Amino acid sequence: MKDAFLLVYRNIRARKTRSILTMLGVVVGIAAVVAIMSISYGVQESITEQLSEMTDIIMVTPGSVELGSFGEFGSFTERDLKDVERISGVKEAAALMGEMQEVEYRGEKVMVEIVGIEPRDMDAVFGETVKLEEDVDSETSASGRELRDNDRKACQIGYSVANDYFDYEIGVNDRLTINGSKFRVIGVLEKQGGFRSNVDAQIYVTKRDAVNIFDTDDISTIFVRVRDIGEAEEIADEIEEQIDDNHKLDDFTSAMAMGGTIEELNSIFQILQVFLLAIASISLIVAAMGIMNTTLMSVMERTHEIGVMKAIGAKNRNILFLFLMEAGVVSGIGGVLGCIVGWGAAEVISFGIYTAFDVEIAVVMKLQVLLGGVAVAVLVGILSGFYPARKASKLSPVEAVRYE
Amino acid sequence: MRDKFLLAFRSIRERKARSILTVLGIAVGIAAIVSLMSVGYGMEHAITGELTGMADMISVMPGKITGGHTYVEMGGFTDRDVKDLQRISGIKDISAMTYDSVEVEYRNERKPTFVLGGDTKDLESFYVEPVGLKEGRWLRENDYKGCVIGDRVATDFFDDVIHVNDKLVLNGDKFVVVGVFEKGGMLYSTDVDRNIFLTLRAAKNVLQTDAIKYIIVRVYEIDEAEEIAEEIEEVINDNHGLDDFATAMAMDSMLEQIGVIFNIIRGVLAGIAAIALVVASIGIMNTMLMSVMERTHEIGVMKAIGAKSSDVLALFLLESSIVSLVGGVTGCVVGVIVAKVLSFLGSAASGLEIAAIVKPEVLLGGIAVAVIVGVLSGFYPARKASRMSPVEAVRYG
Repeated sequence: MKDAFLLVYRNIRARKTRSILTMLGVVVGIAAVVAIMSISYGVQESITEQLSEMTDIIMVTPGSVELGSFGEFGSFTERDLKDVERISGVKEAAALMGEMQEVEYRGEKVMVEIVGIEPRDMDAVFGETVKLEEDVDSETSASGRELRDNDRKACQIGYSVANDYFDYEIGVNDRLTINGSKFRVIGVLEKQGGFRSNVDAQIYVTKRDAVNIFDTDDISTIFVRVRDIGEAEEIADEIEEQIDDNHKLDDFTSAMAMGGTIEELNSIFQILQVFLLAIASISLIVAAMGIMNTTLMSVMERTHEIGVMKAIGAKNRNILFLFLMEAGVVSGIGGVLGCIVGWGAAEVISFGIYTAFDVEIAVVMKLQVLLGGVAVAVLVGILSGFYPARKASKLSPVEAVRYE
Repeated sequence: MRDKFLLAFRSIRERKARSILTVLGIAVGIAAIVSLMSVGYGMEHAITGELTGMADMISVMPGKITGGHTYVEMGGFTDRDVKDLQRISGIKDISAMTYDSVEVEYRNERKPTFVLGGDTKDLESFYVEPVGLKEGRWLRENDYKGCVIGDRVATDFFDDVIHVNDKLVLNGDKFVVVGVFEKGGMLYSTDVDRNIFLTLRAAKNVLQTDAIKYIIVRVYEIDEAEEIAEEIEEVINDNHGLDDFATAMAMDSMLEQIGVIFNIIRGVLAGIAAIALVVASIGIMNTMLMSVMERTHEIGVMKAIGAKSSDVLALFLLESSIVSLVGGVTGCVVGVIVAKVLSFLGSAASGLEIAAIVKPEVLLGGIAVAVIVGVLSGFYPARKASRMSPVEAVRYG
């Protein structure tokens, strides 16, 4: 066994350029696979991280929510909210009132979505991800404060509203005119982006103020958090039934459990990952052809040597093993190097994406990807080395020795 | 020159297994690129194809798109807006539509859905021509009590399937179904499947509003569409005294944007597939190096009888480029076949008609890339061969 290793090692060294080039093929192939895997894991992680806070949420809206549809079908009442709260398994239910309103700031008028909410419900809706923006001047304190129950004519504004909507930037204590009445800004929210980008474009006021501005107490969205995520789907169905009953309409309500949506997103992502991986592995196929080629030549060149080995008593399987070993070692080393290069490439790509698009994608390097990469490389080597190795082992010793 | 071809050809044939493997490597790489490009073009065409006939359209909506994807409606347009638009130069045709949610009743079941009303001829060219009717006929100008319904309204919404001549009640008014749409494809499903189409007058009656929710403008010159869209936004925003009230989208620039996105997707895919080409070029280099080594003696003899270094260089470059040319052509053929198979499977799986589009420039490009890869990766071994000292080379082997 030790002899076999030594022989293999000597052979690889003797044909240095060739071995290095063959190895390089494997390195490139494995590096491509590893880099793509770890980048796509990174993307997946950043998506689920954003969403994990939302898995226990059920969004209840009037009308079915479908991509690209617009327009609304009426609204909910206080009674609907009470009925939803009474359903078992519901931890919190918060009512949101939302409407586009004209907002004026320093003579400029823009339509912004105003959201009315009970201040005590804010935690349920925002969870831990939506916070006040950090104040640049005093590092410790946030910019402004949260809404309180007894606030009147006060509002919290989203990041885009503060920074992009008007020519002038809006800060804490500035005054806005919403639908004719003056409001004081008490807090600016941190930039959300991604799946919560709607928060950036909204202004939050207390429910009492919202009733005044909108001149109605209709509820446009009910926001539910459940105790057990496993029950979310059932609870969503129950909510739909309950409210449809209240309004005597079929399909009036749509209750969407976010957990299900996140799972769907994940499965789409897995398909994409497999697809990219398939394209990247084409280069592995090409690398396999390279290995086969080198091993074939190695067998041809060493026909005489094989004949001698057989003549002094080497069995067929000794020869087979020797050449398989050679292919396996070359591709194994290629696999290890490929993992390293792939890791580096992933870091470079993620840095490139960050500088070009300002999107942060962390490289997630999983141990099973690295081990899998090396294993696949060795497997490819052995498979593509099999035909030449078999050819070598079947040589007739007499003819092989005669070959020069 | 002819001799060189013969020599190169003979040495390729002599080492058959090796040459075939090298050719295969190139072929796989080129095939991957060609097939991905062709399927990519096919997908782009499947999405934009039906739209290219509408490149002269601008759609104007009273609202804006916030947060990148959600559309927020902010009211409606007035007749004055439409009159002002008519005054903008470069506009061929204006069609105003109204749109809102409504309650539909059928056999005592009530469901919420949307009503879209507009000029029947305009609606016909926007929706009936691309989507098609599966039953009945399209609305006529005087069909005040007729409606045409989308596929989901007919089949999904109610316990019983709705057919032509069935009666629906919309906000209390009775209507007769005169036609049913086919299922809209990916582009039209949200616009058609869940809507009920009425004449403009009937829609205004049902919705009890004069507000216009959707204006479609056709321009004379597609090149001007972008500017006209901006002018439209300005005029309407002025009328309503609001910034960002109207959103005017020129189809042409939307098409361009889709084209840009597809270019990026194709670029990334082809880039990943091109890694295979890199590996293949390493393979070529390897084969050529071995070929040079094996023929060291032969090279020495050639030089001894008067071959110049440049002759030897040309010989080996020729060999590597013939191998990669054959690989490139084979790759193109395989790539086209794979693209057809992929698009067939894709169409079957997604229900969307995707026909792979094989562009001649992709094929020619594929072959050219193959030859370039062959020449580049053959260069180092060929140079090595050409630099050999004839005396030492002859002694070798």
